[in-house]
Amino acid sequence: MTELNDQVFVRECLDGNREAFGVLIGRHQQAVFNVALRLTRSFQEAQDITQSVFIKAYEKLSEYDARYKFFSWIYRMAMNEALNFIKRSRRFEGLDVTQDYPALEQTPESDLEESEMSRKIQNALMRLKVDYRAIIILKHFQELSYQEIGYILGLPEKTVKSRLFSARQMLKQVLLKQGYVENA
Amino acid sequence: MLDDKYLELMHGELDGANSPKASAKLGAYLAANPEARQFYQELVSMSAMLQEVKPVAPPPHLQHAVMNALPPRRSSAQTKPNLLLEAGKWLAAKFEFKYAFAFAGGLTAGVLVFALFLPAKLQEEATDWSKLYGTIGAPHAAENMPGEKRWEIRQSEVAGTISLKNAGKTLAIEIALDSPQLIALVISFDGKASRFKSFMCFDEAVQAEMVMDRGAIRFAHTGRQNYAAAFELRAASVPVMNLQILRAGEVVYGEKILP
Repeated sequence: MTELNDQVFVRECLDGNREAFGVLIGRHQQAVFNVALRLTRSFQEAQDITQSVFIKAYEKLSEYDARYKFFSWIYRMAMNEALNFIKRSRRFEGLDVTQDYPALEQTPESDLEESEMSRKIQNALMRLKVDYRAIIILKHFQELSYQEIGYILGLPEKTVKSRLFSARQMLKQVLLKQGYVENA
Repeated sequence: MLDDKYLELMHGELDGANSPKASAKLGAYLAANPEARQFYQELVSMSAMLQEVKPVAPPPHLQHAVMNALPPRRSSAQTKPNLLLEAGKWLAAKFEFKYAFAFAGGLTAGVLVFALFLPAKLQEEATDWSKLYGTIGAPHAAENMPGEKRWEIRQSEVAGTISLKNAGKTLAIEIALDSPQLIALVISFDGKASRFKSFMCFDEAVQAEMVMDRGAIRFAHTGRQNYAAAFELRAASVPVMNLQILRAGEVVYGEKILP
């Protein structure tokens, strides 16, 4: 049996059932939070952006077009919010910012290595222009299709592919230079 | 210098977007070209690294904070615009197009007049529930509103009530059941005659789980739970519904609700 899709809860919410929106938040808050976190590299900003995205989504719920997946619509908002924040602050444009990233807990060595890996990847991502960073996040961390990415970023599929390929090249170069990717 | 078309194939291979023929073509190219092979391996290594990055959990209070910050919401029925008022505003704004809006005004008035005098048979009639029955209990006359039937269940595995309320084009099934063990209530319906519309929980600490498949919805819960499912009636006749209560995979109650 398939789970109730998001449209059912959207409809419920539009009919006045506020708690139905809570279900939607529960389903998508982690993804939205991580998109914001990977783009801004600030835990606090990611929280603020996530909260802002869901409040806006609630206010504009009647404008949601059911032809598209709800999560695509939410991602689109999240992306716009995060990009607007970056433009306003101009602090995270291709810089290696470390101070706001969540502190690592003391864990067994294997967990620490994994966290260290995340830190290395995030450092490398922050060296990319925000447009390329965004597309890497949507493709590799959120595992979205070219079409879904195109809708979220407002780009044709062909542009998504070419930008993704360029972003990968750049990220690879950064990781190679930092010694994180081995030469074959 | 690597060929652009093979670069595209490499990225396509990474994304699982290549056809078998394209994959084979890429394979042959990589086998014959060490520089390309190195480039592709570096891409694969990087992709594997990215896959190792785990998502970060949002702070636990975030959902609560968002819910508290939501503005008050009115139902979509209350927020529907006053069409006549909006039309009036539009007409006033477009005064310079007097002939165009005179035509539009006449057309609107004609449609409204036609709608007011629609034949009565286009209106939905109340459904006759007098022949509803089921082994979960004999239906009895509703105590409050017309178009309502209620069944009381008094068994060792499960007890409670199931109510059917017909409001014109909408059929609501309210479930208030209590069971010490996990039970499932399955409502099967004819998709041509009715359409599942919505699900609502009446308890704050709801533990009910609802899943939907074509032509059936399934509620699973333990303890006392109160929830409802609404259906939109598509045909003029009462839709056929099959209601079953299961415990540990076995049917405890089951009956076809017939008009």
